[in-house]
Amino acid sequence: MDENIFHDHDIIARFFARDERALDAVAKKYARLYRSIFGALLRDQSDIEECSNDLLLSLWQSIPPHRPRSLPTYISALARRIGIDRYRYNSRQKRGEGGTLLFSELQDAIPDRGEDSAQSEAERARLGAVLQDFLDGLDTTTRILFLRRYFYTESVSSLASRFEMSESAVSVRLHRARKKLKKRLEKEGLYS
Amino acid sequence: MKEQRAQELFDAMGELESSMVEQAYVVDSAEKLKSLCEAEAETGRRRVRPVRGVHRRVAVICASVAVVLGITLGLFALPSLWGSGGNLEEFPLLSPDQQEEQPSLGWDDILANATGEIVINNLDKLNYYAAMWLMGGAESDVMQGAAPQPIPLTLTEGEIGYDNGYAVDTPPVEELPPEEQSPTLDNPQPSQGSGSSIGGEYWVGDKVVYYALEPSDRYTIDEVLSFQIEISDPAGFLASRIGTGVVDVVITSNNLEPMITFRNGNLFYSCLISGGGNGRMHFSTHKYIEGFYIVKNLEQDNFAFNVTMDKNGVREIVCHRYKSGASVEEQIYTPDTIRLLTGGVRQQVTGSFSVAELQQYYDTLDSQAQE
Repeated sequence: MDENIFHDHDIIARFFARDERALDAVAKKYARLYRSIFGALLRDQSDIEECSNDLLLSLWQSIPPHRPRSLPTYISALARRIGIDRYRYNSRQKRGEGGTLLFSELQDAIPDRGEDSAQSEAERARLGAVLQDFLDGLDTTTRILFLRRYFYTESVSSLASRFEMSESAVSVRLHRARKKLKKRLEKEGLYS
Repeated sequence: MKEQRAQELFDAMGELESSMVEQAYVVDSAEKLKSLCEAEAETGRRRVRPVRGVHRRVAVICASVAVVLGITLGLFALPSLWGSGGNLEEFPLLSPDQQEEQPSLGWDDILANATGEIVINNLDKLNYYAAMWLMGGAESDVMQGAAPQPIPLTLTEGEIGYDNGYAVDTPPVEELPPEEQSPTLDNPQPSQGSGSSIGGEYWVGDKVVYYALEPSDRYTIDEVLSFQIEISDPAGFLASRIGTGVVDVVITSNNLEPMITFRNGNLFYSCLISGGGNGRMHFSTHKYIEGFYIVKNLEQDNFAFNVTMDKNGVREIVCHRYKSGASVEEQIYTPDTIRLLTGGVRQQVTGSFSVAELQQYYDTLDSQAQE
Protein backbone atom coordinates (compact mmCIF):
# COMPACT_ATOMS: atom_id res chain seq x y z
CA MET A 1 0.00 0.00 0.00
CA ASP A 2 1.16 3.56 -0.67
CA GLU A 3 2.05 4.87 2.75
CA ASN A 4 1.54 8.41 1.55
CA ILE A 5 -2.19 8.04 1.11
CA PHE A 6 -3.66 8.29 4.58
CA HIS A 7 -6.76 6.80 5.97
CA ASP A 8 -9.30 9.54 6.52
CA HIS A 9 -8.97 8.86 10.22
CA ASP A 10 -5.24 9.46 10.10
CA ILE A 11 -5.82 12.71 8.25
CA ILE A 12 -8.32 13.88 10.86
CA ALA A 13 -5.98 12.79 13.64
CA ARG A 14 -3.29 14.95 12.12
CA PHE A 15 -5.65 17.90 12.06
CA PHE A 16 -6.27 17.37 15.75
CA ALA A 17 -2.54 17.11 16.33
CA ARG A 18 -2.13 20.38 14.37
CA ASP A 19 0.15 18.58 11.96
CA GLU A 20 0.22 20.47 8.67
CA ARG A 21 0.80 17.23 6.77
CA ALA A 22 -2.95 16.83 7.13
CA LEU A 23 -3.36 19.54 4.53
CA ASP A 24 -0.92 17.83 2.17
CA ALA A 25 -2.85 14.60 2.58
CA VAL A 26 -6.18 16.30 1.85
CA ALA A 27 -4.72 17.96 -1.22
CA LYS A 28 -3.30 14.68 -2.44
CA LYS A 29 -6.41 12.63 -1.84
CA TYR A 30 -9.25 15.08 -2.47
CA ALA A 31 -7.98 17.86 -4.71
CA ARG A 32 -9.79 16.41 -7.68
CA LEU A 33 -13.06 16.34 -5.74
CA TYR A 34 -13.03 19.92 -4.47
CA ARG A 35 -11.51 21.43 -7.59
CA SER A 36 -14.26 19.88 -9.67
CA ILE A 37 -16.85 21.50 -7.42
CA PHE A 38 -15.14 24.86 -7.80
CA GLY A 39 -14.85 24.28 -11.52
CA ALA A 40 -18.59 23.75 -11.77
CA LEU A 41 -19.23 27.14 -10.16
CA LEU A 42 -16.35 29.34 -11.29
CA ARG A 43 -14.70 30.05 -14.58
CA ASP A 44 -11.51 31.75 -13.61
CA GLN A 45 -8.63 29.44 -12.80
CA SER A 46 -7.19 31.88 -10.30
CA ASP A 47 -10.54 31.90 -8.48
CA ILE A 48 -10.39 28.13 -8.32
CA GLU A 49 -6.88 28.28 -6.89
CA GLU A 50 -7.87 30.87 -4.30
CA CYS A 51 -10.94 28.88 -3.30
CA SER A 52 -8.82 25.75 -2.98
CA ASN A 53 -6.56 27.58 -0.56
CA ASP A 54 -9.60 28.95 1.29
CA LEU A 55 -10.92 25.42 1.60
CA LEU A 56 -7.72 24.13 3.14
CA LEU A 57 -7.72 27.05 5.55
CA SER A 58 -11.35 26.37 6.46
CA LEU A 59 -10.51 22.76 7.13
CA TRP A 60 -7.60 23.78 9.32
CA GLN A 61 -9.79 26.17 11.27
CA SER A 62 -12.76 23.86 11.67
CA ILE A 63 -11.02 20.57 12.51
CA PRO A 64 -10.90 20.58 15.50
CA PRO A 65 -13.33 21.01 17.09
CA HIS A 66 -15.38 19.47 14.34
CA ARG A 67 -14.67 15.79 13.67
CA PRO A 68 -16.28 14.90 10.32
CA ARG A 69 -17.90 11.54 10.02
CA SER A 70 -17.22 11.47 6.33
CA LEU A 71 -14.26 13.56 5.24
CA PRO A 72 -15.09 13.65 1.49
CA THR A 73 -18.66 14.76 2.21
CA TYR A 74 -17.43 17.41 4.65
CA ILE A 75 -14.91 18.69 2.13
CA SER A 76 -17.59 18.77 -0.57
CA ALA A 77 -19.98 20.72 1.65
CA LEU A 78 -17.24 23.27 2.44
CA ALA A 79 -16.27 23.53 -1.21
CA ARG A 80 -19.86 24.18 -2.21
CA ARG A 81 -20.18 26.97 0.34
CA ILE A 82 -16.88 28.59 -0.58
CA GLY A 83 -17.57 28.21 -4.27
CA ILE A 84 -21.00 29.74 -4.22
CA ASP A 85 -19.84 32.60 -2.02
CA ARG A 86 -17.16 33.38 -4.57
CA TYR A 87 -19.68 33.01 -7.37
CA ARG A 88 -22.00 35.54 -5.73
CA TYR A 89 -19.14 37.91 -5.03
CA ASN A 90 -18.07 37.77 -8.66
CA SER A 91 -21.64 38.34 -9.82
CA ARG A 92 -21.98 41.39 -7.60
CA GLN A 93 -18.69 42.70 -8.93
CA LYS A 94 -20.02 41.96 -12.39
CA ARG A 95 -17.02 39.83 -13.06
CA GLY A 96 -19.01 37.92 -15.58
CA GLU A 97 -19.69 34.58 -14.04
CA GLY A 98 -22.86 34.77 -16.07
CA GLY A 99 -24.52 31.79 -14.52
CA THR A 100 -23.37 28.23 -14.53
CA LEU A 101 -24.85 25.22 -16.20
CA LEU A 102 -25.77 23.92 -12.77
CA PHE A 103 -27.88 26.95 -11.91
CA SER A 104 -29.45 26.95 -15.36
CA GLU A 105 -30.54 23.40 -14.82
CA LEU A 106 -31.81 24.09 -11.31
CA GLN A 107 -33.94 26.92 -12.62
CA ASP A 108 -36.13 24.21 -14.18
CA ALA A 109 -37.08 23.31 -10.64
CA ILE A 110 -38.17 26.83 -9.68
CA PRO A 111 -41.89 27.63 -9.97
CA ASP A 112 -42.66 30.24 -12.61
CA ARG A 113 -44.33 32.86 -10.53
CA GLY A 114 -42.41 33.76 -7.46
CA GLU A 115 -42.18 36.68 -5.10
CA ASP A 116 -39.33 38.97 -5.82
CA SER A 117 -38.02 39.03 -2.29
CA ALA A 118 -35.15 37.62 -0.35
CA GLN A 119 -35.60 34.24 1.22
CA SER A 120 -36.39 34.31 4.91
CA GLU A 121 -34.86 31.96 7.49
CA ALA A 122 -38.19 30.19 7.85
CA GLU A 123 -38.46 29.70 4.10
CA ARG A 124 -34.91 28.43 3.98
CA ALA A 125 -35.67 25.84 6.66
CA ARG A 126 -38.84 24.82 4.90
CA LEU A 127 -37.06 24.50 1.61
CA GLY A 128 -34.50 22.22 3.22
CA ALA A 129 -37.19 19.98 4.70
CA VAL A 130 -39.15 19.82 1.45
CA LEU A 131 -36.02 19.02 -0.50
CA GLN A 132 -35.11 16.25 1.94
CA ASP A 133 -38.54 14.72 1.69
CA PHE A 134 -38.56 15.06 -2.08
CA LEU A 135 -35.25 13.23 -2.41
CA ASP A 136 -36.40 10.51 -0.03
CA GLY A 137 -39.30 9.86 -2.37
CA LEU A 138 -37.24 9.53 -5.54
CA ASP A 139 -36.31 6.16 -6.95
CA THR A 140 -32.82 5.06 -6.00
CA THR A 141 -31.08 5.74 -9.29
CA THR A 142 -32.56 9.18 -9.75
CA ARG A 143 -31.75 10.14 -6.18
CA ILE A 144 -28.13 9.14 -6.54
CA LEU A 145 -27.82 10.92 -9.88
CA PHE A 146 -29.51 14.05 -8.50
CA LEU A 147 -27.22 14.22 -5.49
CA ARG A 148 -24.08 13.54 -7.43
CA ARG A 149 -25.07 16.21 -9.97
CA TYR A 150 -26.32 18.95 -7.68
CA PHE A 151 -24.43 18.29 -4.47
CA TYR A 152 -21.12 16.95 -5.77
CA THR A 153 -21.50 18.88 -9.08
CA GLU A 154 -20.48 15.87 -11.13
CA SER A 155 -20.97 16.41 -14.85
CA VAL A 156 -23.57 14.52 -16.86
CA SER A 157 -20.92 12.88 -19.00
CA SER A 158 -19.04 11.69 -15.92
CA LEU A 159 -22.25 10.31 -14.40
CA ALA A 160 -23.07 8.51 -17.62
CA SER A 161 -19.64 6.93 -17.75
CA ARG A 162 -19.61 6.05 -14.07
CA PHE A 163 -23.01 4.37 -14.04
CA GLU A 164 -22.76 2.88 -17.53
CA MET A 165 -25.74 4.85 -18.80
CA SER A 166 -26.09 6.99 -21.87
CA GLU A 167 -25.77 10.73 -21.39
CA SER A 168 -29.30 11.18 -22.66
CA ALA A 169 -30.61 8.69 -20.10
CA VAL A 170 -28.90 10.64 -17.32
CA SER A 171 -30.14 13.96 -18.68
CA VAL A 172 -33.70 12.72 -18.98
CA ARG A 173 -33.74 11.40 -15.42
CA LEU A 174 -32.37 14.66 -14.05
CA HIS A 175 -34.77 16.70 -16.14
CA ARG A 176 -37.76 14.72 -14.91
CA ALA A 177 -36.54 15.04 -11.34
CA ARG A 178 -36.24 18.82 -11.68
CA LYS A 179 -39.79 18.98 -13.05
CA LYS A 180 -41.08 16.88 -10.19
CA LEU A 181 -39.28 19.15 -7.75
CA LYS A 182 -40.85 22.17 -9.34
CA LYS A 183 -44.32 20.68 -8.90
CA ARG A 184 -43.49 19.86 -5.32
CA LEU A 185 -42.28 23.38 -4.56
CA GLU A 186 -45.42 24.78 -6.14
CA LYS A 187 -47.55 22.47 -4.05
CA GLU A 188 -45.72 23.55 -0.90
CA GLY A 189 -46.19 27.18 -1.77
CA LEU A 190 -42.50 27.85 -1.96
CA TYR A 191 -41.38 30.43 -4.48
CA SER A 192 -44.95 30.88 -5.68
CA MET B 1 -34.64 36.21 -10.01
CA LYS B 2 -34.89 32.56 -10.97
CA GLU B 3 -31.14 32.34 -10.98
CA GLN B 4 -31.10 33.58 -7.41
CA ARG B 5 -33.70 30.98 -6.46
CA ALA B 6 -31.60 28.35 -8.17
CA GLN B 7 -28.65 29.42 -6.05
CA GLU B 8 -30.81 29.14 -2.94
CA LEU B 9 -31.84 25.67 -4.00
CA PHE B 10 -28.20 24.78 -4.49
CA ASP B 11 -27.50 26.19 -1.01
CA ALA B 12 -30.34 24.22 0.51
CA MET B 13 -28.81 20.98 -0.72
CA GLY B 14 -25.95 21.67 1.62
CA GLU B 15 -28.34 21.13 4.54
CA LEU B 16 -29.47 17.64 3.56
CA GLU B 17 -29.07 14.70 5.90
CA SER B 18 -25.41 13.76 5.84
CA SER B 19 -26.15 10.03 5.58
CA MET B 20 -28.04 10.55 2.34
CA VAL B 21 -25.28 12.68 0.90
CA GLU B 22 -22.58 10.27 2.05
CA GLN B 23 -24.42 7.40 0.47
CA ALA B 24 -24.43 9.20 -2.87
CA TYR B 25 -20.66 9.57 -2.61
CA VAL B 26 -20.14 5.93 -1.72
CA VAL B 27 -22.33 4.61 -4.54
CA ASP B 28 -19.88 5.45 -7.27
CA SER B 29 -20.21 2.64 -9.76
CA ALA B 30 -22.84 0.84 -11.77
CA GLU B 31 -22.29 -2.26 -9.68
CA LYS B 32 -22.90 -0.47 -6.40
CA LEU B 33 -25.90 1.33 -7.78
CA LYS B 34 -27.38 -1.95 -8.92
CA SER B 35 -26.80 -3.50 -5.50
CA LEU B 36 -28.40 -0.51 -3.79
CA CYS B 37 -31.41 -0.66 -6.08
CA GLU B 38 -31.86 -4.38 -5.44
CA ALA B 39 -31.49 -3.91 -1.72
CA GLU B 40 -34.01 -1.09 -1.54
CA ALA B 41 -36.43 -2.95 -3.77
CA GLU B 42 -36.08 -6.08 -1.64
CA THR B 43 -36.76 -4.30 1.61
CA GLY B 44 -39.63 -2.58 -0.12
CA ARG B 45 -39.22 0.48 1.92
CA ARG B 46 -37.81 3.90 1.57
CA ARG B 47 -34.60 4.86 3.20
CA VAL B 48 -34.94 5.21 6.91
CA ARG B 49 -34.08 8.73 7.82
CA PRO B 50 -31.81 8.94 10.83
CA VAL B 51 -33.11 10.70 13.90
CA ARG B 52 -31.65 14.04 14.66
CA GLY B 53 -29.82 15.77 17.42
CA VAL B 54 -30.42 14.80 20.99
CA HIS B 55 -32.73 11.95 20.02
CA ARG B 56 -29.91 10.38 18.02
CA ARG B 57 -27.61 10.60 21.01
CA VAL B 58 -30.22 8.93 23.21
CA ALA B 59 -30.82 6.24 20.60
CA VAL B 60 -27.09 5.54 20.28
CA ILE B 61 -26.70 5.32 24.06
CA CYS B 62 -29.70 3.01 24.39
CA ALA B 63 -28.43 0.80 21.59
CA SER B 64 -25.00 0.62 23.20
CA VAL B 65 -26.49 -0.33 26.55
CA ALA B 66 -28.53 -3.02 24.78
CA VAL B 67 -25.37 -4.39 23.17
CA VAL B 68 -23.53 -4.50 26.48
CA LEU B 69 -26.47 -6.27 28.12
CA GLY B 70 -26.63 -8.63 25.19
CA ILE B 71 -22.99 -9.49 25.61
CA THR B 72 -23.38 -10.07 29.32
CA LEU B 73 -26.48 -12.20 28.98
CA GLY B 74 -25.07 -14.03 25.99
CA LEU B 75 -21.94 -15.02 27.82
CA PHE B 76 -23.84 -16.26 30.79
CA ALA B 77 -26.09 -18.34 28.56
CA LEU B 78 -23.29 -20.07 26.67
CA PRO B 79 -22.49 -23.66 27.44
CA SER B 80 -19.13 -23.77 29.15
CA LEU B 81 -17.26 -25.60 26.43
CA TRP B 82 -14.25 -23.40 26.45
CA GLY B 83 -13.40 -22.34 29.94
CA SER B 84 -14.13 -19.12 31.72
CA GLY B 85 -13.94 -16.89 28.68
CA GLY B 86 -13.79 -13.15 28.58
CA ASN B 87 -14.76 -11.34 31.70
CA LEU B 88 -16.82 -8.30 30.86
CA GLU B 89 -16.37 -6.75 34.26
CA GLU B 90 -12.66 -6.59 33.69
CA PHE B 91 -12.96 -5.24 30.20
CA PRO B 92 -16.08 -3.10 30.14
CA LEU B 93 -17.04 -1.68 26.80
CA LEU B 94 -16.92 2.06 26.55
CA SER B 95 -20.11 4.06 26.36
CA PRO B 96 -20.50 6.30 23.31
CA ASP B 97 -19.59 9.35 25.42
CA GLN B 98 -16.46 7.64 26.67
CA GLN B 99 -15.58 6.53 23.18
CA GLU B 100 -15.82 10.10 21.96
CA GLU B 101 -13.52 11.24 24.73
CA GLN B 102 -10.84 8.73 23.86
CA PRO B 103 -7.74 10.31 22.41
CA SER B 104 -7.44 9.78 18.75
CA LEU B 105 -4.92 6.97 18.18
CA GLY B 106 -3.46 5.85 14.93
CA TRP B 107 -2.54 2.27 14.17
CA ASP B 108 1.07 2.91 15.10
CA ASP B 109 0.07 4.04 18.57
CA ILE B 110 -2.22 1.07 19.16
CA LEU B 111 0.22 -1.55 17.97
CA ALA B 112 3.21 0.04 19.66
CA ASN B 113 1.40 -0.43 22.99
CA ALA B 114 0.90 -4.18 22.47
CA THR B 115 2.80 -6.16 25.07
CA GLY B 116 1.71 -9.74 24.49
CA GLU B 117 2.46 -12.34 21.90
CA ILE B 118 -0.77 -11.75 20.07
CA VAL B 119 -0.68 -8.49 18.14
CA ILE B 120 -3.91 -7.53 16.39
CA ASN B 121 -2.24 -5.92 13.41
CA ASN B 122 -4.69 -6.80 10.67
CA LEU B 123 -8.33 -7.56 9.98
CA ASP B 124 -7.66 -11.32 9.84
CA LYS B 125 -6.54 -11.34 13.44
CA LEU B 126 -9.25 -8.93 14.48
CA ASN B 127 -11.88 -11.26 13.06
CA TYR B 128 -10.32 -14.40 14.47
CA TYR B 129 -9.42 -13.20 17.95
CA ALA B 130 -12.64 -11.28 18.39
CA ALA B 131 -14.52 -14.47 17.54
CA MET B 132 -12.40 -16.40 20.03
CA TRP B 133 -13.05 -13.86 22.75
CA LEU B 134 -16.77 -14.02 22.14
CA MET B 135 -16.86 -17.76 22.10
CA GLY B 136 -15.54 -17.65 25.58
CA GLY B 137 -12.05 -18.98 25.63
CA ALA B 138 -8.44 -18.22 25.05
CA GLU B 139 -7.33 -19.49 21.69
CA SER B 140 -5.69 -22.59 23.06
CA ASP B 141 -8.97 -23.81 24.51
CA VAL B 142 -11.16 -23.22 21.51
CA MET B 143 -10.94 -26.40 19.54
CA GLN B 144 -11.20 -28.82 22.41
CA GLY B 145 -14.34 -30.67 23.16
CA ALA B 146 -16.48 -33.20 21.39
CA ALA B 147 -16.65 -33.02 17.66
CA PRO B 148 -18.95 -34.74 15.19
CA GLN B 149 -17.65 -37.35 12.78
CA PRO B 150 -15.46 -35.88 10.08
CA ILE B 151 -17.41 -35.25 6.94
CA PRO B 152 -15.56 -36.20 3.77
CA LEU B 153 -15.01 -33.44 1.32
CA THR B 154 -16.88 -33.76 -1.94
CA LEU B 155 -16.63 -31.52 -4.87
CA THR B 156 -20.07 -30.18 -5.53
CA GLU B 157 -19.58 -29.83 -9.23
CA GLY B 158 -22.85 -28.74 -10.72
CA GLU B 159 -24.52 -28.43 -7.37
CA ILE B 160 -23.32 -24.99 -6.58
CA GLY B 161 -23.10 -23.34 -9.90
CA TYR B 162 -21.69 -20.03 -10.85
CA ASP B 163 -23.04 -17.64 -13.34
CA ASN B 164 -20.98 -14.61 -14.06
CA GLY B 165 -18.83 -15.44 -11.13
CA TYR B 166 -21.64 -15.79 -8.60
CA ALA B 167 -23.80 -18.59 -7.33
CA VAL B 168 -26.82 -18.98 -9.57
CA ASP B 169 -29.17 -19.49 -6.68
CA THR B 170 -28.47 -16.10 -5.15
CA PRO B 171 -27.53 -12.78 -6.59
CA PRO B 172 -24.08 -11.37 -5.97
CA VAL B 173 -24.01 -9.72 -2.63
CA GLU B 174 -21.50 -6.96 -2.41
CA GLU B 175 -21.43 -3.36 -1.40
CA LEU B 176 -24.80 -2.53 0.08
CA PRO B 177 -26.13 0.68 1.53
CA PRO B 178 -25.68 1.67 5.17
CA GLU B 179 -29.24 0.97 6.33
CA GLU B 180 -29.14 -2.81 6.02
CA GLN B 181 -30.69 -5.16 8.48
CA SER B 182 -28.23 -7.27 10.42
CA PRO B 183 -27.24 -10.31 8.35
CA THR B 184 -27.21 -13.83 9.63
CA LEU B 185 -25.00 -16.65 8.50
CA ASP B 186 -28.09 -18.29 6.97
CA ASN B 187 -28.80 -15.30 4.82
CA PRO B 188 -25.48 -13.64 4.49
CA GLN B 189 -25.50 -10.16 3.15
CA PRO B 190 -22.88 -7.54 3.53
CA SER B 191 -23.89 -5.09 6.14
CA GLN B 192 -22.55 -1.82 7.14
CA GLY B 193 -22.61 -1.00 10.78
CA SER B 194 -21.18 1.66 12.89
CA GLY B 195 -17.76 1.68 11.43
CA SER B 196 -16.22 4.53 9.66
CA SER B 197 -17.87 5.74 6.54
CA ILE B 198 -16.74 4.02 3.42
CA GLY B 199 -15.52 6.59 1.08
CA GLY B 200 -15.96 4.40 -1.89
CA GLU B 201 -13.40 2.25 -3.53
CA TYR B 202 -10.21 4.04 -4.35
CA TRP B 203 -6.83 3.26 -5.76
CA VAL B 204 -3.82 3.03 -3.52
CA GLY B 205 -0.83 2.28 -5.66
CA ASP B 206 -1.91 -0.58 -7.88
CA LYS B 207 -4.60 -1.86 -5.54
CA VAL B 208 -8.26 -1.05 -5.12
CA VAL B 209 -9.16 -0.48 -1.49
CA TYR B 210 -12.69 -1.69 -0.92
CA TYR B 211 -12.79 -0.79 2.75
CA ALA B 212 -10.38 0.66 5.27
CA LEU B 213 -10.91 0.04 8.95
CA GLU B 214 -10.13 3.12 11.03
CA PRO B 215 -8.46 2.81 14.45
CA SER B 216 -11.50 4.26 16.19
CA ASP B 217 -13.93 1.92 14.44
CA ARG B 218 -15.72 -0.73 16.38
CA TYR B 219 -15.90 -4.21 14.93
CA THR B 220 -19.18 -5.89 15.80
CA ILE B 221 -19.85 -9.60 15.55
CA ASP B 222 -23.23 -11.18 16.11
CA GLU B 223 -22.66 -14.77 15.09
CA VAL B 224 -19.69 -17.09 14.94
CA LEU B 225 -19.14 -20.39 13.23
CA SER B 226 -15.89 -22.11 14.13
CA PHE B 227 -14.57 -25.40 12.85
CA GLN B 228 -11.41 -27.16 11.69
CA ILE B 229 -10.13 -28.34 8.37
CA GLU B 230 -7.05 -30.15 7.26
CA ILE B 231 -4.93 -28.98 4.35
CA SER B 232 -2.86 -31.75 2.90
CA ASP B 233 -1.87 -30.61 -0.58
CA PRO B 234 1.02 -28.14 -0.42
CA ALA B 235 0.30 -27.05 -3.99
CA GLY B 236 -3.21 -25.85 -3.24
CA PHE B 237 -4.25 -22.19 -3.01
CA LEU B 238 -4.88 -22.14 0.73
CA ALA B 239 -1.65 -24.00 1.43
CA SER B 240 0.21 -21.31 -0.50
CA ARG B 241 -1.14 -18.79 2.01
CA ILE B 242 -0.97 -20.61 5.32
CA GLY B 243 0.75 -23.93 4.77
CA THR B 244 -0.55 -27.41 5.42
CA GLY B 245 -1.85 -29.16 8.50
CA VAL B 246 -4.81 -28.74 10.81
CA VAL B 247 -6.29 -25.29 10.42
CA ASP B 248 -8.74 -23.42 12.60
CA VAL B 249 -11.48 -21.58 10.77
CA VAL B 250 -13.95 -18.96 11.90
CA ILE B 251 -16.78 -17.42 9.98
CA THR B 252 -18.36 -14.34 11.44
CA SER B 253 -21.45 -12.35 10.74
CA ASN B 254 -20.27 -8.83 11.48
CA ASN B 255 -20.79 -5.19 10.75
CA LEU B 256 -18.61 -5.22 7.62
CA GLU B 257 -19.33 -8.30 5.53
CA PRO B 258 -19.37 -11.95 6.58
CA MET B 259 -15.77 -13.05 6.66
CA ILE B 260 -14.03 -16.40 6.76
CA THR B 261 -10.65 -16.53 8.47
CA PHE B 262 -8.27 -19.47 8.31
CA ARG B 263 -5.54 -19.72 10.90
CA ASN B 264 -2.55 -22.03 10.90
CA GLY B 265 -0.27 -21.07 13.78
CA ASN B 266 0.83 -17.51 13.07
CA LEU B 267 -0.43 -17.51 9.52
CA PHE B 268 -3.85 -16.15 8.67
CA TYR B 269 -5.89 -15.82 5.51
CA SER B 270 -9.31 -14.22 5.17
CA CYS B 271 -11.71 -13.41 2.44
CA LEU B 272 -15.19 -12.07 2.25
CA ILE B 273 -18.65 -13.15 1.25
CA SER B 274 -19.67 -13.10 -2.36
CA GLY B 275 -23.08 -14.73 -2.15
CA GLY B 276 -25.16 -17.41 -0.51
CA GLY B 277 -28.40 -18.19 1.17
CA ASN B 278 -30.40 -21.15 2.38
CA GLY B 279 -27.58 -22.49 4.47
CA ARG B 280 -24.86 -21.88 1.95
CA MET B 281 -22.17 -19.26 2.00
CA HIS B 282 -19.84 -18.45 -0.85
CA PHE B 283 -16.64 -16.64 -0.05
CA SER B 284 -14.37 -15.32 -2.72
CA THR B 285 -10.72 -14.38 -2.65
CA HIS B 286 -11.35 -11.33 -4.83
CA LYS B 287 -11.96 -9.46 -1.58
CA TYR B 288 -9.15 -10.22 0.79
CA ILE B 289 -7.28 -8.62 3.64
CA GLU B 290 -4.12 -6.57 3.70
CA GLY B 291 -3.48 -5.03 7.06
CA PHE B 292 -6.62 -3.18 7.98
CA TYR B 293 -7.70 -2.84 4.38
CA ILE B 294 -10.12 -4.97 2.46
CA VAL B 295 -8.63 -5.11 -1.01
CA LYS B 296 -10.62 -5.96 -4.08
CA ASN B 297 -9.08 -7.58 -7.12
CA LEU B 298 -11.20 -9.22 -9.79
CA GLU B 299 -8.26 -9.57 -12.17
CA GLN B 300 -6.14 -11.98 -10.16
CA ASP B 301 -6.53 -15.73 -10.07
CA ASN B 302 -9.43 -16.08 -7.67
CA PHE B 303 -10.79 -18.95 -5.63
CA ALA B 304 -14.06 -19.63 -3.94
CA PHE B 305 -14.84 -21.30 -0.64
CA ASN B 306 -18.32 -22.74 -0.55
CA VAL B 307 -19.56 -23.56 2.91
CA THR B 308 -22.71 -25.54 3.58
CA MET B 309 -24.01 -25.44 7.10
CA ASP B 310 -26.99 -26.16 9.28
CA LYS B 311 -28.07 -24.95 12.68
CA ASN B 312 -25.38 -26.99 14.37
CA GLY B 313 -22.38 -26.12 12.32
CA VAL B 314 -20.62 -26.78 9.05
CA ARG B 315 -21.58 -29.74 6.91
CA GLU B 316 -19.28 -29.19 3.98
CA ILE B 317 -16.62 -26.90 2.63
CA VAL B 318 -15.19 -26.91 -0.84
CA CYS B 319 -12.60 -24.71 -2.43
CA HIS B 320 -12.12 -24.24 -6.12
CA ARG B 321 -10.68 -21.81 -8.56
CA TYR B 322 -13.34 -19.83 -10.30
CA LYS B 323 -13.45 -17.68 -13.32
CA SER B 324 -15.27 -14.40 -12.89
CA GLY B 325 -17.91 -13.99 -15.57
CA ALA B 326 -17.74 -17.59 -16.69
CA SER B 327 -20.70 -19.92 -16.90
CA VAL B 328 -21.17 -22.98 -14.78
CA GLU B 329 -19.69 -25.18 -17.48
CA GLU B 330 -16.65 -22.99 -17.85
CA GLN B 331 -15.79 -22.89 -14.19
CA ILE B 332 -12.50 -24.49 -13.36
CA TYR B 333 -13.19 -26.97 -10.65
CA THR B 334 -9.64 -27.49 -9.63
CA PRO B 335 -9.90 -29.12 -6.28
CA ASP B 336 -7.99 -27.45 -3.55
CA THR B 337 -7.49 -30.32 -1.22
CA ILE B 338 -8.98 -29.29 2.05
CA ARG B 339 -10.88 -31.62 4.31
CA LEU B 340 -13.44 -30.75 6.92
CA LEU B 341 -12.32 -32.24 10.22
CA THR B 342 -14.97 -31.03 12.60
CA GLY B 343 -18.36 -29.49 11.90
CA GLY B 344 -17.55 -27.20 14.75
CA VAL B 345 -19.83 -24.93 16.64
CA ARG B 346 -22.22 -22.22 15.68
CA GLN B 347 -23.02 -19.56 18.24
CA GLN B 348 -25.16 -16.47 18.35
CA VAL B 349 -22.88 -14.20 20.26
CA THR B 350 -22.74 -10.46 20.12
CA GLY B 351 -19.82 -8.24 20.83
CA SER B 352 -18.33 -4.99 19.69
CA PHE B 353 -14.66 -4.13 19.93
CA SER B 354 -12.16 -1.62 18.91
CA VAL B 355 -8.76 -3.03 18.01
CA ALA B 356 -7.27 -1.28 21.03
CA GLU B 357 -9.76 -2.96 23.38
CA LEU B 358 -9.16 -6.40 21.94
CA GLN B 359 -5.41 -5.87 22.05
CA GLN B 360 -5.66 -4.83 25.69
CA TYR B 361 -7.63 -7.96 26.49
CA TYR B 362 -5.05 -10.29 24.99
CA ASP B 363 -2.15 -8.34 26.50
CA THR B 364 -3.76 -8.78 29.91
CA LEU B 365 -4.33 -12.50 29.31
CA ASP B 366 -0.71 -12.83 28.36
CA SER B 367 0.57 -11.02 31.42
CA GLN B 368 -1.70 -13.09 33.67
CA ALA B 369 -0.37 -16.27 32.10
CA GLN B 370 3.17 -15.22 32.89
CA GLU B 371 2.44 -14.57 36.55
